[in-house]
Amino acid sequence: MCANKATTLENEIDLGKTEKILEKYQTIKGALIPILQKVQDEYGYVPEEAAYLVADRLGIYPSQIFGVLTFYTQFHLKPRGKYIMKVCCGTACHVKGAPGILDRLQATLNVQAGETTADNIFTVERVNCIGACSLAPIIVVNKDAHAKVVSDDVANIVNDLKAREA
Amino acid sequence: MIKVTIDGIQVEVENGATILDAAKKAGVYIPTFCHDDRLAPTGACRICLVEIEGGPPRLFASCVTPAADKMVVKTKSEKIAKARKTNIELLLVHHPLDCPVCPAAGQCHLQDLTYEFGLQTSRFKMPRKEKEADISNPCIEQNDNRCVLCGKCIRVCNEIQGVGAIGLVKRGFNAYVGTPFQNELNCDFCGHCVTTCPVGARNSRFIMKGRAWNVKTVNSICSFCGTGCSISYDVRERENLVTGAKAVHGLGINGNFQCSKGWQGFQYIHSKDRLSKPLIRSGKTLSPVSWDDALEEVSKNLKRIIDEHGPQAVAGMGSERMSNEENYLFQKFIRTVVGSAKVDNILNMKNRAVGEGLPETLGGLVLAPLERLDKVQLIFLAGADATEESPVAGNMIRRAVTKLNAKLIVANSRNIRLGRIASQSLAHRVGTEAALVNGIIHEILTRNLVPREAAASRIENLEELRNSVSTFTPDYVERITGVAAAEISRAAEGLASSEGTAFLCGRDIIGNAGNATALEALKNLIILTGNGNSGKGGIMLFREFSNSQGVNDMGVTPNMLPGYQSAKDPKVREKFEKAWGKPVPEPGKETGDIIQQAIDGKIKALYIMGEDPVMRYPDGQKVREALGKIEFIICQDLFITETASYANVVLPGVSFAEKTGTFTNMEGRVQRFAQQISPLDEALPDLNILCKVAERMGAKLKSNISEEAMAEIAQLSPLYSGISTATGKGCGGTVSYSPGADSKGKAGIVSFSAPSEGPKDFPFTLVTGNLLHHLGPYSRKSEALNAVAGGSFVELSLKDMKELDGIKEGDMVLVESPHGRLSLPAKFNSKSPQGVAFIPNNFENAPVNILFSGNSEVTQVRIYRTA
Repeated sequence: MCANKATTLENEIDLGKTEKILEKYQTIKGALIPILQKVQDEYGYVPEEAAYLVADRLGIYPSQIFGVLTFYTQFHLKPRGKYIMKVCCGTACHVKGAPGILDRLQATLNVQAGETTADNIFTVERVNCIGACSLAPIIVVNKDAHAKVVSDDVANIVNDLKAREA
Repeated sequence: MIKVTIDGIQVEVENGATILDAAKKAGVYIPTFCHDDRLAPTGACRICLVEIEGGPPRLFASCVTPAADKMVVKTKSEKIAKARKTNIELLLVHHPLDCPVCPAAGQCHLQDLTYEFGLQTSRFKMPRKEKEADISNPCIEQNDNRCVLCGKCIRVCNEIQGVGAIGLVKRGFNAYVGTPFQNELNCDFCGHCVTTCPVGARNSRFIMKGRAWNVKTVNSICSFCGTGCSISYDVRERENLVTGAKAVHGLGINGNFQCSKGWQGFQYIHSKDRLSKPLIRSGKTLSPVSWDDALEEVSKNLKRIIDEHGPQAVAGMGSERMSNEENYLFQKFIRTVVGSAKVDNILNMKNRAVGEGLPETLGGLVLAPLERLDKVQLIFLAGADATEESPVAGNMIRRAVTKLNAKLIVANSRNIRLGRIASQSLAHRVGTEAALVNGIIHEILTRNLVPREAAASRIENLEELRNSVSTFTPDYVERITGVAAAEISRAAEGLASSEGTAFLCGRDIIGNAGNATALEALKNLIILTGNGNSGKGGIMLFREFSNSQGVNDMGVTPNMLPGYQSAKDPKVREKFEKAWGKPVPEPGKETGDIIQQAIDGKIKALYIMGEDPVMRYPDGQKVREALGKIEFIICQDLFITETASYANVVLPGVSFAEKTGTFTNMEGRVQRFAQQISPLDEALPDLNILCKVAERMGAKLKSNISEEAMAEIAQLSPLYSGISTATGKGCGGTVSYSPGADSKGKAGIVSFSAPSEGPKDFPFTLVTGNLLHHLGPYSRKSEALNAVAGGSFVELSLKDMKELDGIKEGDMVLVESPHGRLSLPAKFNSKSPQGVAFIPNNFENAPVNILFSGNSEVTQVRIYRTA
């Protein structure tokens, strides 16, 4: 019972990347969160199989790792899109019309906040204040900021990115 | 020691003790909620707040704050009361206070605190969680609405059971107790999370309803395996029902440990399949009759067969599941009332060396108590899947390794769970244990890993031993066992340098007559490494059932009278004849056990008390044939077992909950189990049945009272002379099968022949054993255990499955030996060695013993996919 899940699944993901990370950090005490962050950097999210492997190597229970992964909002358990579209809904952005922008973005991409498009290109996220109130309302795509957005800009931002992918 | 003052009472406590410890010592009550004596303190609930005079002005959680010398603590003040009350209100933020419909009502810690602090409800208004109780799990119901996130379930799972199946998921108001990645709960189903939950958030889906105030608890002994755990049972007296079971902190040899059978196995007591009346066969059916008719049928037929064929045509089979007293009376019945010497039990029939031959086999070694596992440096686990066979003993091993820094060497032909925490795993080929151990001895002797003088002082015939293992060079042993020579050397080094090694020996070695030499070799190793009777290490033999040891102690064996006194010795017989007032027959000279004799036509009647040979006898075809040949079979049991379906008369006995008696566990510890309820329906206590049958046959068995039977045992058997269940003297203590204290031992000389290569067309080696959740016929009558382990399977290595035209988990395969065939779903074990298959022996609809022959529970098989 309580078998190591990682060994029972058909391995679709390349656990070699996790192995490499573990090689470097597994002996360091207190390195769980940095390891999980690096795993997420590699895969774009923390795959279940990788989490089980980390548990096995660090000698802690997968349930404890899952606790950490679900405690912090920085960790993601499902694959995310190539472009993470963060719509700021902090106070300033809210006042300047962020809810409408989020609605438009959701409608354009046909996903809800927190979801990823079927082609794995876009993930829409609703975030609280990102600290750029003077630029409100703001959408951050990966590391690019789009300031003072109005609803009609949304289609252009999306189309530009789609064109880049085509 | 430090001095602390609690509410004006000065106490002395150990350095490092908490304020809560000191308060307990001072007799001052501090309410607690998340605290549990069994677990590391966490200080989460803040109910146990206290003030420290002259300290910082804030309040301290007494369960996690260490006491300091001259500390003055106040546990009662307005400030404290207010803070505690607020914290309870915070616990109640989401809690529905649905006490009237909650199964925990009356034994709920939150309810107690709410009542104690006089709260109506919480000042903090939050919407109640309105989640449906989660019943996706076959066994455990989770009700998050009632959960107050104290985390005790998670902590027992991590700290005591060592499984870590559940954890806290998410945070804040959204937090809940869950499994990693929302997977199905994958655990041992030990029930610790349920029995520990202080509120009604985790419940058994099978537990019978019972209000705490209608329930009394009875401490007794578990009726399943040979570990002999103490369990506290919940009993609803008025309805005559056993409703719950759990281990209790500090009670019994198991302390905090419990397993799935201990927790929910007891359900068989109230199974709807229990026999309510005696049954008599007419034609193909068994029909209910009165006790009078049944007893008449039994005595009439036994008398007739004795008249026609003599008493030796009647045989008796005792039980590894029944008490010492019942087994004692049973052999007395067969020997004196019937007058036959043919009485035996399955364990002894499988392997005489650990049955009636135990004292001789131990040869001076004393069985070590399980508690010694906590003190040894090294544990050598041979031929035992402890986690599955004796789960609590397995957990003690795990605790010794993970918490107390003992090293573990696992020698097993399968990949067992304890292998994961072992410092070394010796994965040998099936049946080569003796060669492996001889190889280790060879290494120790040739490399002088145990200094010469020490070895000579421990072993009388050292040179003889040296010569006998001289051929077992590492290379040779590697060829035979498949264990790398370097690994053998490493094991030898570990064993030689350890000061105190516990050697645990399981069914692959002791349950298998074909492997008797392995036990002999192991004994040599034990003595050579100085673990004989030094007290630092020692030998432990796993026992399958609650009284596997006791049934042999009681002389339910052809050649030994109670207490291993030879029935061949006229002086011994004379002593028993005098006490029993009847002649005691001398053991016959027939070859083969009673099953063989039945096949030879020598047994006309068989009285089976609480045993199921059809499932348990190693050779399944043979036992079925034998039972078919016997004219008259009496079965005394709770259910129509596979064996009882062959019976002419079935007499309904009672479960361990409906009587008292003693079981002797794997350590030789004689423990009393207590009556919890009165016998159900028309079932009779087994001692009564034996006395009634004897009476019908015109004899008197003296007493049907368990305490009196034990007095008779103590009087006749020096082994049990110190024990009295009437006064409680000696109960819970161990009996010793060896004179002991002999520092020097004689090595037995072990001859070893490598197991012959199986025929080419049967490429797999099949082995068997018990599953964690099942043991004997009774566990299959527990709904809860069937829910978590409902059917048989054949376990194969991943590689073998791929090679067998890509068999996948769950595919049906045919397992065929030269003797029989079984169709089963396949299951894989990723770390299983290639070429080894395993089928559990627990399922009556897939009797693995039909594949075996002779006295060995190992055979060669071929496996192929069916359709």
